[in-house]
Amino acid sequence: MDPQESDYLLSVRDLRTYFHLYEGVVRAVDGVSFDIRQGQTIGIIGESGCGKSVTVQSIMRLVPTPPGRIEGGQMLFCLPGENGRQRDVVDLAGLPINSPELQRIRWRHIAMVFQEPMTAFSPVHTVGDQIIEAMQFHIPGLSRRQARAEAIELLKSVGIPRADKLVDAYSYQFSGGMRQRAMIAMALSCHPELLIADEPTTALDVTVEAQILALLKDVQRKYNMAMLYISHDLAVVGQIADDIMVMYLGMAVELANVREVFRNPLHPYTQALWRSIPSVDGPLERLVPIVGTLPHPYAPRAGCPFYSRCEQRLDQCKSMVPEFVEATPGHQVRCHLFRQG
Amino acid sequence: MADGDNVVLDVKGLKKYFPLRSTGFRRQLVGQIKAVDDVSFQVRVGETVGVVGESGCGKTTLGRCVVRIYDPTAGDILLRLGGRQVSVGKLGKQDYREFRKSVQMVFQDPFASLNPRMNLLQTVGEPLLVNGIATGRDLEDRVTDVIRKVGLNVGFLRRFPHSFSGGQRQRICIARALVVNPRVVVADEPVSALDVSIQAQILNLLQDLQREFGLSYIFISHNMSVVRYMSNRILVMYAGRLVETAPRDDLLYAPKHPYTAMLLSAVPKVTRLGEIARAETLGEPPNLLALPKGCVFNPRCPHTQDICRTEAPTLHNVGADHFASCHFAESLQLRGV
Repeated sequence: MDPQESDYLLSVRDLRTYFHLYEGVVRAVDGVSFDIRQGQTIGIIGESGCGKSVTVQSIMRLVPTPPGRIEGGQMLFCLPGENGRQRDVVDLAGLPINSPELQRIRWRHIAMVFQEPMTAFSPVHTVGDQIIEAMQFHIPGLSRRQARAEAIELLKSVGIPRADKLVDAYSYQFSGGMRQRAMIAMALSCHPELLIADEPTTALDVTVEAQILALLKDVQRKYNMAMLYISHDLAVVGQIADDIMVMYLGMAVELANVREVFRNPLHPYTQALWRSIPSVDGPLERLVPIVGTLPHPYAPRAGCPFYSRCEQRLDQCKSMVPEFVEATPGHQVRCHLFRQG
Repeated sequence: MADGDNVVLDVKGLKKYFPLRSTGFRRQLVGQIKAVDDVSFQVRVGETVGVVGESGCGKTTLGRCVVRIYDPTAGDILLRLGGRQVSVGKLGKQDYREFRKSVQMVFQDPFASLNPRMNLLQTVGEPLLVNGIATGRDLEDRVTDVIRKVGLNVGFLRRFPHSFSGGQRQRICIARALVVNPRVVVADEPVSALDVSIQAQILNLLQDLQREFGLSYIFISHNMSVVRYMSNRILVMYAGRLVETAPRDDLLYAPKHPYTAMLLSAVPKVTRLGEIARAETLGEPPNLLALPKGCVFNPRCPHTQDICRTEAPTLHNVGADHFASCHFAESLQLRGV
């Protein structure tokens, strides 16, 4: 495929990441496919064990190997080319772990914001030094003085007061919200085309969360940056995403426009999720918990991952894994209740 | 306020100040953190009072004072015990026992609040032993009864906390709180550490138990959606103060304090997609070591006037069972959910 023809920034195709443990094999990501375009935001939602974090860790090649391994699939990333016109398409899954290509892509083109900013920062280096280090690594010829000035500007742009003083502070001297902003500044330092945010606001108060969401949106607009936003909170994702991908037990079970997922969810799991989550402005009805429990991670799997808890299941669901099909234009779902078109 | 008959807990002027001492040999008092500063409210029989606010607002400290994990610095808690009213501040030894049985707590982290070396029977049975309620066969019967009520299998009696899931562990904590037949249960973020699909199970369980046993809950949470689902009335705290209290729907749809409106504007809504609250409207949490003069909310409030900077407002009646601590509560047109 001609790189200039592609309209995606990143195309994940049937990604599979398994963990080979003593007790058995955990199929953490077991068939995930999606495309993300420049400037687009995809929200990935799902509960513990659904594989959303491992999916983005696979993209960033942060999965500990061993015991994890990308078993299959491709992650095609469109790099802007040397002379600005030509674009290269790189399969992130195929790059050797310490290769210079991977080092060049990671952070410069794809950056990540983590859930626990306290653990993402080095406690023994200043926040400024960590931002400067990232910039100097990726931007050749950048002097320390220039990098420091840039770092201060970045901290200012994410709403950190007295940036010229706090650039020399340590992460423990920041409050939770400020630390998260500093991490966003660090992630943006090389102006990546894609930002991955893994539950960045889960540990924060709702007022700080709203500010971080607004900041991310602003930055996206300014740089036409794409974003993968992971959360277990449907309402938060509804604020920020263009499209939503719902994951269950390592598979993408639904992928559609945010309005569609909110107003017309197709997959039984998505529908069950909606009925079990309280909201501040939706109808006030008794919550309906999802019946059953998650199967044991090492249990052998056959058929649809949601079979054991699905109230709309058919006979074939027990033994046949449904295909990920486009049930209506732009609305993909992995369920035997739906066919292509 | 409510008539005396159906009030089970009456909190009056509760204060909890934590002293700050200098480092060094002398350890002199250099200041104090007013974690809870003059909070008063009532809890009626069978009702859930939700307490919301950002981190550091004092809601957890309030809960701990009610359960007497902390001794309050000032103020009193009146509990209706068997027809009479007792003041928690002045409890004699016997009454103190009664109090402990009547007011129980469920904590946020179901793993941290369980002794890993005690099995289910021992964990849920301990309050019965400590309070001299039952031993031996009688104890085991009562424990079996209550763990069935919270949806756990009797076959698990001899298992230890590590063999249970997060949701099951929280059920154990609820069973432990209920085994002594309390009147009031203080639940401090009881579902925050649980997966979303398990939260629904625990919330429904709490509601069912409330109906069955006529329990009152003080439900502390930072999550407005969960508080809405559970509460009959809601208390909003800011910097240790109670800034607004009202019946649930009145608070959500017609708030009278600017901070409540601010909190509501920041909560993501499922009926309005893509609507993020503007950052400028949200401000920064207060520094408890350097609270402003006048109204503690004034630096962050979009409606601040001169009087707000000099005179602290008091909690006053602004509607049916609706109280707010703002100089302009009656005149501001605030937006709710």
